[in-house]
Amino acid sequence: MFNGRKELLFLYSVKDANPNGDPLNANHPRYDEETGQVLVSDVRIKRTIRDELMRMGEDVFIDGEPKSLKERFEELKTKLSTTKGDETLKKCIDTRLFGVTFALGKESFAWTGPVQFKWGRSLHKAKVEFVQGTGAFVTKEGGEQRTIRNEYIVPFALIGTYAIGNQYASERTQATDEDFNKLTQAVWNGTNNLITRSKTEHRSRFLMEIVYQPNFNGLIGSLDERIKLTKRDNSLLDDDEQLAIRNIQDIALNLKEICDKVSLLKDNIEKIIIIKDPDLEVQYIDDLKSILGEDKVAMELR
Amino acid sequence: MALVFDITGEYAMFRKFYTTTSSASYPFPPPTAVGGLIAAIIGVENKSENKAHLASYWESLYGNRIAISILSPTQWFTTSINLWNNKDPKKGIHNIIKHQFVKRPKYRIYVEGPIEEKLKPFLEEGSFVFTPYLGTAYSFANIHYIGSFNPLKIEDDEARIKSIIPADIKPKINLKKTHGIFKDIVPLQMDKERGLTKSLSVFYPANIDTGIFVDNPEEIGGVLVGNDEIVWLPEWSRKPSG
Repeated sequence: MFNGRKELLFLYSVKDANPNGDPLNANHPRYDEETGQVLVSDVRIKRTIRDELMRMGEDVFIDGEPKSLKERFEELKTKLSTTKGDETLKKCIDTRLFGVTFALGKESFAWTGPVQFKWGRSLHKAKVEFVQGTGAFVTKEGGEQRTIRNEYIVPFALIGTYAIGNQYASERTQATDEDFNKLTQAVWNGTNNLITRSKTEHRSRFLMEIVYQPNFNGLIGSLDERIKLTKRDNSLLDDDEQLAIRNIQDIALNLKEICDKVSLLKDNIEKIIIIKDPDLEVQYIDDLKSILGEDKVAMELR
Repeated sequence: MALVFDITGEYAMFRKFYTTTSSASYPFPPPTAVGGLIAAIIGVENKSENKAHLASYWESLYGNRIAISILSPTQWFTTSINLWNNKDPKKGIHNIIKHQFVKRPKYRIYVEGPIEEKLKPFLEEGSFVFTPYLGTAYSFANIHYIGSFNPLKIEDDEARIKSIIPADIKPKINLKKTHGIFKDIVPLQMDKERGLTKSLSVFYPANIDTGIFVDNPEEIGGVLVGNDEIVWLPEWSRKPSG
């Protein structure tokens, strides 16, 4: 099981792509009309993680292929030499981390996943553009006009996602700290590896994992809502400026509120792990180090 | 005494139990969702590792009662979600389901009964055993403790009730002052097999600032808890009446 509670904040940028289409809205990027923010479902984020975990050689239950539950289960039983659903799914990293509801034949069980992801949200107002292009083929032989391709893209968005890792729920699914570490690697590398047509130019920018002491049952909470995007000189971005962001180098990430919370809970925090893109300016990391002590903040530039 | 705490979040989705395929949400957490939330905070298991549908924590909820108030104006967000079509995936890998979410919800929960003793330290510390959420696992709940209060009977001729009110206790609603109310059926409680054992018709205010003006607060058991005039929902009991 997890040694203690964990919180995960992960930021990635999207350029000229569709971060997550709404299937009943012509694949328009999920969008909050009121705030102008682009949204990404938890399922999309977990798909990215699962795909990367499979590349890492892990066994994953929901492999994304069109198979029925029975087919997938039979496949896994053969591969893993297991018989029951319970033992089979304990060998799959995604069901250990994200939980599962399983009902097949006489066996039925539900595990609440120790890791729950919230929907991701752009940290600024973002535009959605409708673009058309010419397809490769004509519809009828001898025709002149090739088909027209329609799609929505977001010129730029920096998206924040947040997850909680619960040590008690991990007991039941037998998820380990090692599993969680694989998840953090998978979300970073998997995002960079998203190379389908609609998901080009996805870049991992910032990851922060807070690991709490084993006996602590609280947390800071909503890390994604406690960060702020500013201009490089620390001033606020107005609405037009938010819509005009096209480059990560134009902006800075401000961790002040998280820093304040960390200083309140510092005795309960075991360590903070940060992975950062050198291009992203992040303020208050030095403050984090001075609050917790250098040895408790591990930072890697990647 | 009665414990009072607020729950907030970015989204909530409390699926109406009487719908089939559509995921329509109540604007507030129905009593059964509040029960699950309390059980999560104090860490009572559902035992669903044995049978998917089990909700064993109900055993520890019986003998307590709650009240629910809506604190933020209800705003909706509708979107569709791809669910895995695990029956016939060759026809289409996804079942696309429309979901209705409450945006930026804020609710106040009042709890009275033996469970207070267990719940209070968690609320005071801002801690929980299992991660609390608002209807779906990806809608995290933030919990803010308000305090522990001695409920006082309302003896006035009129009260402005903030909480949802059971319809069967026959509140005399002053519609002129209230302007608007809604009515809906909510699940009140379940057994440990997750079977619905009692549902309830309730009124809730159309305008949260106005609340519901009633002319017979004493008759319907109106109480003042902290600064809020509320009405308790029926106690969760092993053998519900009615």
